[in-house]
Amino acid sequence: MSTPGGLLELLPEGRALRQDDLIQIIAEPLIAPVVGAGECWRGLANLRGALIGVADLGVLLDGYPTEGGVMVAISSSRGDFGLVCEGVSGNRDLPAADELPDEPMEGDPDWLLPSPPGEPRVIDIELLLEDERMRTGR
Amino acid sequence: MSRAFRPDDELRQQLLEIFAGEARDELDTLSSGLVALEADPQAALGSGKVDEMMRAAHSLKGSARAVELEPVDRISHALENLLRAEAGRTEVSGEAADLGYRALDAIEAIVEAATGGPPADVNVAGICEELNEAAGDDGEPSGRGAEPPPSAPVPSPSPEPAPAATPAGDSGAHNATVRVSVAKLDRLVAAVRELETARVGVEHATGIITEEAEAADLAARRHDERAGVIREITQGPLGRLQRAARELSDDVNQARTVPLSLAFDPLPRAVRDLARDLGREVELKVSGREIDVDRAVLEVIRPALVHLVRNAIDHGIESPAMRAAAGKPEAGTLSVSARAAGSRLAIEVADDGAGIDGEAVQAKAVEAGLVDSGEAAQMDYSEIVRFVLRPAFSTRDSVSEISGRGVGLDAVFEGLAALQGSVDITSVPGSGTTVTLHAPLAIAATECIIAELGGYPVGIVLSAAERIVPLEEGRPDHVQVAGRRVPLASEETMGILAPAGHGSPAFVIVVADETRRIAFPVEAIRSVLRLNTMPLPSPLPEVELVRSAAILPDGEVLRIVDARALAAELPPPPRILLVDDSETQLERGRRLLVAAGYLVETAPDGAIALARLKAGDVDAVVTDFEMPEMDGFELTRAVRADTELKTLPVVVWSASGGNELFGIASEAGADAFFMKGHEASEQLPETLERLLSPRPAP
Repeated sequence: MSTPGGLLELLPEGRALRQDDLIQIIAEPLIAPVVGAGECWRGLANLRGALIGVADLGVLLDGYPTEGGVMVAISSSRGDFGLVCEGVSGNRDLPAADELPDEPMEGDPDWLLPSPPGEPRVIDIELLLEDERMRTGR
Repeated sequence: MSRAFRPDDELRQQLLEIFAGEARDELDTLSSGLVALEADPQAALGSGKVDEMMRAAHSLKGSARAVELEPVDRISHALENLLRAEAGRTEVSGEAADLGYRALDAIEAIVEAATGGPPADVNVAGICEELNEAAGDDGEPSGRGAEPPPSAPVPSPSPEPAPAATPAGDSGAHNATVRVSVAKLDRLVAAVRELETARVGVEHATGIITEEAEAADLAARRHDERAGVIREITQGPLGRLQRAARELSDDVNQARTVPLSLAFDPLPRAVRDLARDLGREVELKVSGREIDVDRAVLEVIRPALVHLVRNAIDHGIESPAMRAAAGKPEAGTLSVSARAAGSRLAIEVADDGAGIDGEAVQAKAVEAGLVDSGEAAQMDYSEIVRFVLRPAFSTRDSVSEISGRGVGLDAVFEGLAALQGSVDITSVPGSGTTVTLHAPLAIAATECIIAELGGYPVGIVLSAAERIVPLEEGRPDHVQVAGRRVPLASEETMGILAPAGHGSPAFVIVVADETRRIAFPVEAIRSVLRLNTMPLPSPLPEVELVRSAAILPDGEVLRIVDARALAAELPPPPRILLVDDSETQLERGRRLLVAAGYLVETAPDGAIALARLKAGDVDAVVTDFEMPEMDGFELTRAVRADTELKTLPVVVWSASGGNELFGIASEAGADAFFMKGHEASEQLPETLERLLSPRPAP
């Protein structure tokens, strides 16, 4: 059983975003690098005439920058920003609350929410922004 | 039958917010007018100041009525009556001026209370009665038909709240103004930016269509006729779009600018009140109020100036008796002067008071845990005075009503930093304190040099760039600019902007902050554009080197390099104390040395200079010969006799020359002697560089 709303599955497989957080998917983002912001921040991009900061999901998950890929533009309580990932693979329903495991999965960051077996892990955007690397660049 | 318009609560609250902004401007006009009227009634009348004040009181009355703020309506009306009466008199009594100020304070308190501030404890009836009595009026209630001078009839009573009375002279549509919030203007700016990006996109697409059509028509040998039609269809509307976008952009940016007078006009009142409360005599000198600045800059500058002026009187300028005992004029001088250079603004708040109490600041810094006592003991005076810029710093033992609130200079500093501005402070014990605020004139539209590094565009604000110089091959570590050595920015810095590497730089942009110059290497120079710059967006963490960015017309992101952060790579330049009793010579020498890259402080005679030198952090002295109190040779001898100062380079420059003076200068211990004039202009910077080596050149 699924709750209303949906997920956008990201590549590499096993990660997803809530569609409600999504603004736009940009296939070949032009990102102006700003190194001093921290390793997980790639730089700045133009989103419909507004500036947004762009982070790299590869660095946040595995410590390695994403090569190529797409940028998903995301809205958050602290402003819009971009997240570069290898790609997007489609939409799927949000798992129901009663299907979620009780405990977070060991070793994963807080912002990767627990998921039932076989389901992608949902990135909680507000928790992601609390990640020390995103917040301070360190 | 018409009914009076009665706004609902929500609308009334919105109207009150707008009214509060308007009231602030009118109160400033009235306040500065009262100061002028009190100081010189004849001049104030002759210059139309009283008429201006009556119009302000009248506007306030009408607007207060529109938002149903009856107490303000009544006080404004009574104040207008008093002003009308004063306009017919040759002298203004101190009591009348005090009454006027009390009326303004009452209105301010009522407006604040109406817009969410603390409740106002104001005796409206009492103030109105006193105002009417002073005006010789019978205190009739205000009427809807009242008009400001010169043809103002006596207002008639009106039993009902009436729509806002429109002051004469403001009724024409050509004079109409409307208040717009900065946030709304910012959204308008963003919309214009998108329009501009769209325009470039359309322009590009049109170019391709035209080229394709021309190529096809050429093949069909019908080029001229059909290409002409296409050009007519595309170029005409495109040209109009270009012009409209440009005009719209200019107008929106212009709408953000306001004169500095809005920040300067409250100062005379603040000075008058505070000087009176503290028993000081203060002469306020103001210059540069006509300079236009961005509204966002004004919002930071305005409270900052009031705070600095209060600080200067509360902490700086001494009582008349103390000044007399110190050999100073009983009245202290407080000058607030603004100057615009390129797109930068500098406002100097200088007093001739006692200077900052270094020991008190040092003790407070230790007590507040900002520094340990061992470190504090090693610091010189100029380092210690900078503690007053630290958050929540106050040397007052108890919180005073004036400026010892511990909120102030730090807030000034933070507000300016957010605008890419800064604060400098210098103080000389016994002689006074100068605080300089540096800020951009414009936020919304800034002229930038667009260069290229590592394949990406990178911007330097035009006002921070001194020149562009072709770079020789081989990546030298410096360039020579006007005979001076300017170091290149490090590879580490360039790596922040071009992490994937960069090609061979072909040019350097020589960038200067207030005191230092550095050469920024780039691969190419694209253009100079006027752009709407923005701070880096949240949630991206702050980056010192890139504090703002812009979107280029083609949609590319331009990172704008912060000149101060770039120059911070370099050590601070040497600080020179220039001593001369001639203001003209001081200014001439200051310009010469600043142009050569030195930090310059000035002193009007040897005694003040010696006190400043003992405070520390001066690297060399350039002094005149003939001066009051202590001449240049006495100063030189005193420096050589002081164990802390004896190795300080001293250069004497004098209008008189000759071997005799040269001999006296050498005998006193001067390191060099120059005649003022061409010789000094040519050789002074060079000589200082030699005397200050092995310190790095500025």
